[in-house]
Amino acid sequence: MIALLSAWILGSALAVEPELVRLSTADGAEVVVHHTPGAGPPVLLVHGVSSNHRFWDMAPGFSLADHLAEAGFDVWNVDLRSHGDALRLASGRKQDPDADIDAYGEHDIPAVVAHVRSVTGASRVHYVGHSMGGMVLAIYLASHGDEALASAVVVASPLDLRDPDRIFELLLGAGHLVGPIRRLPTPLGARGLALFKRTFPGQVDVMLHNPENVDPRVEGRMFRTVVSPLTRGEIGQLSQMAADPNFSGSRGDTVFRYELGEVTVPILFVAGRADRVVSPERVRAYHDAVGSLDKDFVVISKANGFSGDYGHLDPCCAREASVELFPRIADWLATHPPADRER
Amino acid sequence: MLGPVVLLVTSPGIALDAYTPLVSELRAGGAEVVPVVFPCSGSFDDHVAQVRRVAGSREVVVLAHGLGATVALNAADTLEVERWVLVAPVLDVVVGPGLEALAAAPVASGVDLRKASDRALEVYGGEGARERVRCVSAAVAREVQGWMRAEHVPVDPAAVTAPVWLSVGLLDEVATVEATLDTSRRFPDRTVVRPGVNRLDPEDYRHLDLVTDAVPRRLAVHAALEGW
Repeated sequence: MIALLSAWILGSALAVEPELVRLSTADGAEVVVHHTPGAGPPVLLVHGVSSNHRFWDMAPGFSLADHLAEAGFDVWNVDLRSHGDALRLASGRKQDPDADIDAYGEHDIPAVVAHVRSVTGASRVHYVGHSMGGMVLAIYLASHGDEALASAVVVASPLDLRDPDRIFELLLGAGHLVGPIRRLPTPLGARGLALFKRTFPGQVDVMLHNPENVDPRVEGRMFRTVVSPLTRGEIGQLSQMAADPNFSGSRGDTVFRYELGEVTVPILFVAGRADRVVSPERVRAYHDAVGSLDKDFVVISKANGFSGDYGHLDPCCAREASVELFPRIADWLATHPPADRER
Repeated sequence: MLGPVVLLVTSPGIALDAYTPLVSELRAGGAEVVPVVFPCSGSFDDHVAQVRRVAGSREVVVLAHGLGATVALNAADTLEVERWVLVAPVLDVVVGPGLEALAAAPVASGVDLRKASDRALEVYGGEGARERVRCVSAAVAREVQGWMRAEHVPVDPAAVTAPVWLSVGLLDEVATVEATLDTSRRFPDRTVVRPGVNRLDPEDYRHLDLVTDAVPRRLAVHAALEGW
């Protein structure tokens, strides 16, 4: 614990800041990518809903971005439009809050992929997505296919909400109440959680992560840094699952779970046993929907030999994530090099 | 007013003591409880035959837990069932490192779960589970290992015509949510309850907790006594 915190403090002082790259999308939005150059294959890191690039790069010792960079990968850590450093356009104006999740997969990711392929010369990139970041992958695959991907890792991502818990029935049903609110100030709520952990009604913070796995100081920093506002467009598309539990395109024309049968890219699916946001059967359903013959599914739990039962945000910030999850991700990427897909 | 006849099918390997509060609440609600407790001998088919013998020709509410649900469902074709209450039923298996270890474990004359390693007991619910487990016959253990290797459990939900209520626990490592929920969707008439933090219950539940802890236990008792 002391060693880890010391590494955090020292690392913070010595860390080389990634290069910020701002890219325009085909529909006029902008994404920001945090690039840590490496000699190895490029890998995109994509955050979840109401989050930002800090999820994968919270601090030294709690950074998949750093881990992969040290392993030699060329790391491109994405802020999707309206998240993190892409909250605003270069002009200073806030980006459109009504852009939905479709836009992330149909425009944001293609823009990043095209840029990375162009500047690196790589024909294929790796993709690691958490939560909505994995849903965005499904949208990208449905709209663009898997030709540009070497492999992928999907962490705690659903493509359906069948058999919802009571809390999700309530949340999805309340989606229509957002109305004129363009962005929910979830960072404010997160800062409240950081201050008043375990006292919020309904154990809200416990729903987001497993406190047994995350040190209290790290927990506070996690809530303060990895959260970005939740947009009206995201809420709208997710709320569709109140009526139909399958994650669908906002136009209602595509059920993504049914669009992945022709996918051949190797994908590792990771679920947390104590994930109260995306319980393991949802990740398993995504795994089952993908046609690839090279796929794997792992649940991070004590029974499976891990240090704890992971919650939804634990992949970012769990005490042992850097020694038991990040190497597993790196190993998956390393054992599925882009050249394999050329054969 | 008399309650229903509840055929309580315990899970092989779980001690009857673990079900005592459940039985008490069922009886307090007016039910006649007929327990089925499996010996540390015999095959899976012997266990199925035992359920058929004990049930006889009476119309029953079947309340079955874990592997006991698997046994009971295999007897479904000869049972007169008013409704099924399945607590953490083993309907399928998705094998991870934890179950891989169990699938490969040597089975001699039987499996005494009381002597299992801490990691093996983690599957049931951690160290506290040691007081509540007992033995499983060698034949049943090897049958279950075969299911794990094949990643398939021999149940046919589509053939179950009576209404089914089932409860699953997020932290259950035996009837995992990823194995149980998808297969359970093949029951023609099914209701799922997910006790746990997301239902605003005090905590999430493991395999044994779903019959021993008050909240999930009372849900099952209510479903058995009153329906849903």
